[in-house]
Amino acid sequence: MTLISDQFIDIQIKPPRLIGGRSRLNGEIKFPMPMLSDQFEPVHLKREGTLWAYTVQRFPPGRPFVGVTDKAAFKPFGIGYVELEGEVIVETRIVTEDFESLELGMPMTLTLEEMKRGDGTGSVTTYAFQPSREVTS
Amino acid sequence: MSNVYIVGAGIHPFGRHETSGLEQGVFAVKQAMRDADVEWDDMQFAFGGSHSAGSADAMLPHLGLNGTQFINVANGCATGGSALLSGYWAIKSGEFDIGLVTGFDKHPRGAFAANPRNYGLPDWYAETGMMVTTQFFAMKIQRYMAQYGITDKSLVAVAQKAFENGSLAPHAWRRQPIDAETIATSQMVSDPLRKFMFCSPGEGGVGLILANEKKARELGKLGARIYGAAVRTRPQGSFEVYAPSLSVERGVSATVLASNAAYKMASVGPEDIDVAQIQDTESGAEIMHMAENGFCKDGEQEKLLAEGETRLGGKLPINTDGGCIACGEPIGATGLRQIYENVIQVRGEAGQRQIEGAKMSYSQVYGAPGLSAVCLIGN
Repeated sequence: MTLISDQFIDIQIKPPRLIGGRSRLNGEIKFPMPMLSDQFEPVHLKREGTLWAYTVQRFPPGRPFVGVTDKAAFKPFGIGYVELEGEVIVETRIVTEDFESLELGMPMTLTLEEMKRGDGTGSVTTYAFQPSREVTS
Repeated sequence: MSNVYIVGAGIHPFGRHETSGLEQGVFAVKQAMRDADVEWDDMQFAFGGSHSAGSADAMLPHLGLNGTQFINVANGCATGGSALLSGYWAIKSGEFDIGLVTGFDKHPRGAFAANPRNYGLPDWYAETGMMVTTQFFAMKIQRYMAQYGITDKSLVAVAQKAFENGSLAPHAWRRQPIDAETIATSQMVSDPLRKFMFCSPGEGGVGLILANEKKARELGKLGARIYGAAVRTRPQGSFEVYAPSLSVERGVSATVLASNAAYKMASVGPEDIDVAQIQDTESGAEIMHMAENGFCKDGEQEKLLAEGETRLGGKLPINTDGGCIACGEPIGATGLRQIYENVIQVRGEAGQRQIEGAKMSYSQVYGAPGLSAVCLIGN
């Protein structure tokens, strides 16, 4: 598994958790952890949240998107914000079998998603959220 | 401190052209100077902006190398609004009597591409496909529709109105009305937004001549006065483009702040506005901006649009030249196109799209990564 970045997730723990930054000044949490400020300390974020907003990316994004952009092979993917109660609202790719079933407030669970690279050099792994009822393992 | 007037206005038609962005800007500036009965040598300053078509001050050899101070302005999609505000302050300060504000642009086809590092964001944010402006607009309106009971019908109505108004504006790009069915079944881009609900990057140029009251009186051009102008950036808790996370403590948008500030300067309220140009990057943005600029409460848009209240002849006509949806979005020029349209409206020179008795006009332009410029112009 090749993580696209180890900046946003801790996979050393099971199950993996996203890493946010908590302000030492006011406790506010940001994601990803702001790198340019020593005001923030790393914090593991909740794995469960609720869907706050969503859409479907129906056309291939331009550079520097690393996924498949070939029009014939491109598969639309879900994008949304998931609210982690009391912590922060994070933007995320959404893994789902059914875009039509998405609705605000539905329970979502953190997962890892393997993205096929568009340049044919294999795949990369990133974080995503999945409707909790679709989580099998 | 003097009142500030727009004594001349010029525009190069928006759309796709063979000419460079710069040439389109020069065309607009010359038209504005003719409109004001002034010459380049009369200008005491210039503020200009372009995002993708070179430095605005490259206009100088085409206007005259007479040493005039020319300041390039860059502020995302609010570049035009920011140039206008700079010119407004320059006159208001008492330092200058008359000057130029201009903006032009020319973009390649397709959605705007962005480099994450230029926005202080990590590479993976864009590499995983999350740094696409259309997603933001789609998610913002998706949540808004669910919260306030807005339906797809309203999204279609906004786009239909845009093309209808564009067909009456000589400077618009899209000059053909498009029926509701065609809009409602056009290709889905980012749910719930479809192809004909979006504006496209385009080309165009605008020139405006600003003057103090004494100069405007001399020129006999007192028909369009700036009553209020403000730019505001995103406050804590607002929902803006390119945001990997949002605070759980929600707040208002940059538009709400800019709008309130401009109304206060002008000592008027939303109920006093006769005609408005507001940012319609896509249908959803116009709907949300109706509320953020104070023209209605959240959710009231559905009824207002169904009853045609924002069409020409409605209670509050919005985007009378077709807005960004019909004119396209050349970043440097788009905010100034709104001002041009309002100047023409309050002067009563808008022809078939003229709003009867338009006295006070309003414009609002929104840009990444979260700023808004508002201007009130009246006669």
